[in-house]
Amino acid sequence: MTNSRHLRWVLAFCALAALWGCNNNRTRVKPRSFEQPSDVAFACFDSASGLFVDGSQCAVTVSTDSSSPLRWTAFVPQTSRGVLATVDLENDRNSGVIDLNQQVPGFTFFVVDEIPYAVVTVPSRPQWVYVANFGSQTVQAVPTSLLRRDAAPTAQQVEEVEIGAGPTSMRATPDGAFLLATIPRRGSLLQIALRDDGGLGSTQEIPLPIPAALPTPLVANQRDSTFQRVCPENAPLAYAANVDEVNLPPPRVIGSASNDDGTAAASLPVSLSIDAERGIVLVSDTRYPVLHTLRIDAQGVVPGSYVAVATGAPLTQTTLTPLLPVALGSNDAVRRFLYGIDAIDESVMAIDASDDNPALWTLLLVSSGSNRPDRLPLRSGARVIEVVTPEYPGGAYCDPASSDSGNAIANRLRGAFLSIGLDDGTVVIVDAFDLDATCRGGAACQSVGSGVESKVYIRAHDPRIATQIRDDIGVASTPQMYFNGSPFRVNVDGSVTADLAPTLAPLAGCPFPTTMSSIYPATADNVTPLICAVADPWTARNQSWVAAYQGPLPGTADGRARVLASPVIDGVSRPGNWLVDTVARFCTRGVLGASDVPGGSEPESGYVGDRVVITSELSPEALLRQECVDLVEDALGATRTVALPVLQAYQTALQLGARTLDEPSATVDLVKSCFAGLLGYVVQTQKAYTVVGSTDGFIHRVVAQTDGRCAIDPKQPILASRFDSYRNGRAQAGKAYQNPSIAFRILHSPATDDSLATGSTAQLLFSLERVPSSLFIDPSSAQTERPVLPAALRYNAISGKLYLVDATSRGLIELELDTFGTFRVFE
Amino acid sequence: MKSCSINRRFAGLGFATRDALAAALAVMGCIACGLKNSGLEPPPQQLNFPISVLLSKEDSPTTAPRFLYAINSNFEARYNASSAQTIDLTRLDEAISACQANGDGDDSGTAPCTIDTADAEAGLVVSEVLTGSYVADAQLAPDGDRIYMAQRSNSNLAVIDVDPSSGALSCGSDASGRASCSNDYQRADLQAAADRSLTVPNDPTGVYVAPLSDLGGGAGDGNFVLMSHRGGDASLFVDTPGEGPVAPSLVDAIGDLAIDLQSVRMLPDSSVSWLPSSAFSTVARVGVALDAELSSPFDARLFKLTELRLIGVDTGLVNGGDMRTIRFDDRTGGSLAFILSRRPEALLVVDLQSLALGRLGIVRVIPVGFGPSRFELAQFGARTVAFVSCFDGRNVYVIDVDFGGLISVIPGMSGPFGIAVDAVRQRLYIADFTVSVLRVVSLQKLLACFGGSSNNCTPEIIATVGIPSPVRQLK
Repeated sequence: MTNSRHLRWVLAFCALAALWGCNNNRTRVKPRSFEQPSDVAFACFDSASGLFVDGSQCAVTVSTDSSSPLRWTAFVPQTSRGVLATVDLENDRNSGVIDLNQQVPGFTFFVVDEIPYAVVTVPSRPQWVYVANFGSQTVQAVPTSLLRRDAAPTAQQVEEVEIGAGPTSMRATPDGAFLLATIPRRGSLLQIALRDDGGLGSTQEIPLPIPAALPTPLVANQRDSTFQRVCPENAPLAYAANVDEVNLPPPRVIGSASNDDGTAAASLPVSLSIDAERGIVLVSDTRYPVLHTLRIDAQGVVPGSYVAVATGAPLTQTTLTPLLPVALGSNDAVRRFLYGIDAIDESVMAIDASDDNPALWTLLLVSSGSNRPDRLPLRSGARVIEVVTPEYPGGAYCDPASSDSGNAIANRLRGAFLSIGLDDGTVVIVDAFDLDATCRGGAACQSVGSGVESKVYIRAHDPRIATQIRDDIGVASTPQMYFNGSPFRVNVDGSVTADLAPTLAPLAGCPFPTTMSSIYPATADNVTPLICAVADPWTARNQSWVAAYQGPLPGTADGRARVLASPVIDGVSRPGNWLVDTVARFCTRGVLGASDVPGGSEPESGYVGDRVVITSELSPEALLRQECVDLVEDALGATRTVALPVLQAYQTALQLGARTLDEPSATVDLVKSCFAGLLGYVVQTQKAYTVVGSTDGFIHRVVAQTDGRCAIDPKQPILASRFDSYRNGRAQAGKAYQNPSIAFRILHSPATDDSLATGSTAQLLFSLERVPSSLFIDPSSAQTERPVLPAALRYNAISGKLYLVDATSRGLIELELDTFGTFRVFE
Repeated sequence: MKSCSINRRFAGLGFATRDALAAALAVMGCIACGLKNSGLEPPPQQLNFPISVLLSKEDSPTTAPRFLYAINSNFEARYNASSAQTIDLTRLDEAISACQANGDGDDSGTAPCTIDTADAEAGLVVSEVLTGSYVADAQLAPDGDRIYMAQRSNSNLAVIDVDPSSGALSCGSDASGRASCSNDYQRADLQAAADRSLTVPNDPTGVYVAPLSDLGGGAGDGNFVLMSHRGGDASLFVDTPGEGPVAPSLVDAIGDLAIDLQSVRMLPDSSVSWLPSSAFSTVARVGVALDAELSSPFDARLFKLTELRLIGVDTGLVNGGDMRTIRFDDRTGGSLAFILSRRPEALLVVDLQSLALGRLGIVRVIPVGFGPSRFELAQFGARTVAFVSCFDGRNVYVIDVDFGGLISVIPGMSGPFGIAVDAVRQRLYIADFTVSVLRVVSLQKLLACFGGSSNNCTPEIIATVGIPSPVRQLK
């Protein structure tokens, strides 16, 4: 190749590179439109006249009839920038967000005041949108004509009311005559009269009383069973406890109930909802465990109508169902339910709010198993809630004989449902009343088993089951018995094909047969059960279980303990040798010493107490002492476990037995001498299996008594009537074991005992599968790597759509309810 | 032989090509000569990508801090060193008052005063030292006499001595006429760990310092320092007064933690530190084992505890996450931890009572602005307020952590990062990293608002310390 050819190749390469650099496929950067949106409200826009019109006219819009000039428009306040975004919901996701000034790069929205937290539209006053600004402590009325470029101009100007404290939530009264806003810092409710032309009129502040004492909620005696559809009728079901069987925590406040000067701290109202049918405003309080209620009429809040509802916990938000039928098939609508988010732990409670007197509203027990009985079973913390009522009231029950009955599936929502936006970015649906339930499983459940569904579970206050249940809950693959580290299949007769390995013994039927079913072997196999599990889909959890012989108690491994003689524990000198770890929480972790074990018929009865295993290595000095080396190694040089029995357990100390378990000639004094100073340790069960669920963890009833000693909690008795009262995490060989989720019995032959006593290891491992999943939607799944943080859920009853406001960056997400699972994102 | 073979290979090329190669080599040679250039020294008394601001320690919490220590990072690598400055807060008060009296700034915050740190008349900067670049984090010793810095340019723990009475900074050398830190102050002493051949892990990101007494009553005088490292390491240093090396001694290091650790903070009364990761939805935990009654602090060892996973919060990634900094609720009976997260962009409130099974028990998720980077908690009466710097959002979020809501947003910054809360003066000092200034924010209206005597709760920027200087092109 000549030099000139070299040069030509170089020039050709450079030209190619230059052309590449000049291509037109530039990365398009879409400017950020929404910044921390907080709320959404809707208005109906008539594109023919350029006017906003009464929302009731928007039943048919351009999306459903292309000849219609009507367009649903959403207003979304942005807290970060203090602006109000406008979204045309009839446009597609890319052109929905309206840029008010296209000459300015990026999105230009209407500027309101600082930190707009809430936005309200009143259907009968379409010319205004009302904004509550927390930062600037104002409420503004903004003419809707300023919020669309294609709106006809009007003479109206922005109006503003200064409050003097920041509003956090706002609603209009049902007749549209007043706005009501919560003012947390003043512990009050603000009422703003709206003039006839919709502008802002006079204001009135209504202080909310401070509860004199922390009231205890009324609790319904039994689980509400207003509405349920379970097919077949004898399908396993875990009913929640009766009120006399549960031990609910005492009412709590957040922060302090008193100010620095000793005066009572004011109520902290943060949000409100309105019972339009009965004219009641419901104000959530994030300090006190009460829900403030006030009557409203045409003159606004009725003086002297205040009633506090005891809730047991402060609330961040509430939502209310309309009147619902008393039972499936009935048209006698007399029941109404209130749902609230617990401000302490983001759980959701259900309250029967049927009575016209709020003082008689009762907290419902809605869960069982490992779930708190007075909270809905949710997989993550709840941020926002909203009742949705597609086709209710007015919709008819699904007729099993109709051609439409086949469309009655889980993701078609007709009736009344609770939607919940969770911390994990999803929106889940909870049943309250399902008009389609009459078609599920066919007439009188007769189609169950013959079609695609073998079971139907629909019940008020439980998460809606998303899947059509074809197979029962079962064990993934087969249970495995790991013996000395090697896995062995547990056969359907309980045997294990390994000499000396533990086996499973057949159970004499599942305990609580209306709640638990055999998961191994499968019920269909019609053989004696080896492993039973809760088969109620709302109580069962997809999780793995491990029962490890002398396994560790989770959370008990640490490296800062010391073995001391006669230490002072909780202010009292205690004789004997103790392992002391001042930062440990042994009772909280479930540790039991031999003398802490209850007798009688308690499931822990007969247990020999836990053991402590030293995990530290010998120090260089101790390695020079033969007696210390002998402590950790046998004559052949194999490692020896240094384990001491626990005689008594306290929250920060464990009394140790006099001699080690594996080498009885070794004393605790020798251990103390060889492991001088801080040592590492772990607490294990002794001659028993530590049963740990991947979700439930190590279940136990151990608590610290007033003197710090660990004991079985007398407030958590074992009740023969309650499967979920069996809160025990130690399975003893030969003894039937059960906890609120599973049951089995492990058998040891004498040879197995001998083998395990000389260092063999054993653990039973199995995983549950086919636990029906609940209905949810995950908007973040549509576009990866962008988290969703729900800020508000709002239902547009006229369009029948649900809207999720994402506080991070995805903006406004429209969720379809007749095909729940489909959605559009406006961003 | 080798050069001959190269010559032969080049012999096939034409004269023009060979000339071009020769010219290129000559240019490279000239550039290489330039490498011996010691570079530009940072201009005196100028902020240069400040990363952290620290308030001096006073005898009483009701005494106004006298000094503010600004730690610069030299992020742009424009200069051959970074710097730390002591700003006299009394003089800053005077300068702000004078500015406002002249009408140069106003109370509304729309026209804050700009006070040049290099202005000799104002005399704000009372001391300055040069130190290594790329400080990632800094903390002041509990007794206020030393600043500890996670310094990425040296991959080490660097220190600067402080005279608490005068604010004077010193770190060993002033050979060039300007106080400049000697190597002793920029590298930990490795002698205590020499028998284990330990070295300081690479790429430190966070630093935490506390008195040795926190590890046990008999641990003696001095401090211990923990550093987090991007590669998934944690390191432990002991710094005792008296004879011995001037630098803290490395006593232990531990690896195989989650990568991209961002900071480190110790849970009070536990000897357990938490290290959030910006790569995984994980908080690593490392304990410090020291038998203070029997052993010297130099025998302290780190041990790994179960990491805590963020479950039940959408991070947008399957196993990923991005957590930045942690603070523990130090109120009486406090049982909460606050974690600043970028995925989601939120302040996560964790219940310390429910950490079983290695999960963070999240009880509240409070949305914040874009790119949250650092935050500080402050107690005002019964209210606990978090100030969150949102680097990408170019603002600071003010959050009531009990109420769980946004109180205010402080706009008007370019890249806020480190924050210091001066509760006595009712001010914030914010390192505005991107434009190399400090912002002074008055909290008076916010606090008056808490007391119900004001309608305007928005904190306002009342002064900019330093002349704004945006990122420039490298020369």
